[in-house]
Amino acid sequence: MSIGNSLQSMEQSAYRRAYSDGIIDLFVGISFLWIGAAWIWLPDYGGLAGILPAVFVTVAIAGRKQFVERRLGYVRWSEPRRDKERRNLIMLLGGGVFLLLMSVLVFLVVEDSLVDETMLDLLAPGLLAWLLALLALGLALLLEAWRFVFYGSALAAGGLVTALLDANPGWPLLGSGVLIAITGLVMLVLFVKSHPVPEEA
Amino acid sequence: MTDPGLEAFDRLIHEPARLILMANLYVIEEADFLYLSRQTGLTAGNISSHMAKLAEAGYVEIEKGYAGRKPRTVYRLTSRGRAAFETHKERLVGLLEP
Repeated sequence: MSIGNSLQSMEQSAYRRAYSDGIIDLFVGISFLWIGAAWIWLPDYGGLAGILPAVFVTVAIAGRKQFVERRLGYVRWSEPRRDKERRNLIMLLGGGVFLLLMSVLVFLVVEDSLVDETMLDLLAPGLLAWLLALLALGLALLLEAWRFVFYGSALAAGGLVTALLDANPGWPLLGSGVLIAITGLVMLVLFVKSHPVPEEA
Repeated sequence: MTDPGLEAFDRLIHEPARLILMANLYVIEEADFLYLSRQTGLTAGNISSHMAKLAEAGYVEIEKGYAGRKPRTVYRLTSRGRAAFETHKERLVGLLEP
């Protein structure tokens, strides 16, 4: 490995370490779990269940920054890294708005059967999971946290099974939500154990 | 292999602890003491003394401030420090990557 590559790798590993606390996983997992549960047990409000996590995301981001900085220290990334972050964040937000609109559309298709006997109608039970799988892939790119590719794959597979069984669209979200939340919780415990707050901080 | 000659190396940067501190600061914009300590495994005393030497040479800027009510020392490479590190890196590349 060349010296230039070593420096790049040093920066990348520091960046990934800054997102190794599991809080985002925990937040995403609980959000998916909540949306899935609402879709299954509160069908009248299933399409709107995504609003609550969207409201709490800003609180979660601010709280997480403080929590991580107390344990890992403060760092301001390089300009190219911040540019990349901004670009990916804009893409992710754009994707989020797209997902919200698509979720409402899917809700209408599934619940009100606005479209009958079409391919969309056949695939509709899995659509929500596939759309959120795209969001998970967006997070993988943004955070360079490749475990989100695994989460996205689990959602996509869950969506396929749901479509084949014509089951409630909430089940793959509930299942993957549990998986992601448990992973996040384990990561959080390990992070806190390996990065205690220094006495002088 | 190109031999840059021992005198070509900046001994202030070449010392292992200072080299790793400079490398860590080179790939970011700025960081506090805790971040550098986590990244390098160096102790408080080590970081302070090496940073003082680098600051004296004009390679590092030290900013003492507060994060909330807690004191925080932030370190960043100066343009001179960045240029010196790049030169040192090129010399190492010349030596190690023929």
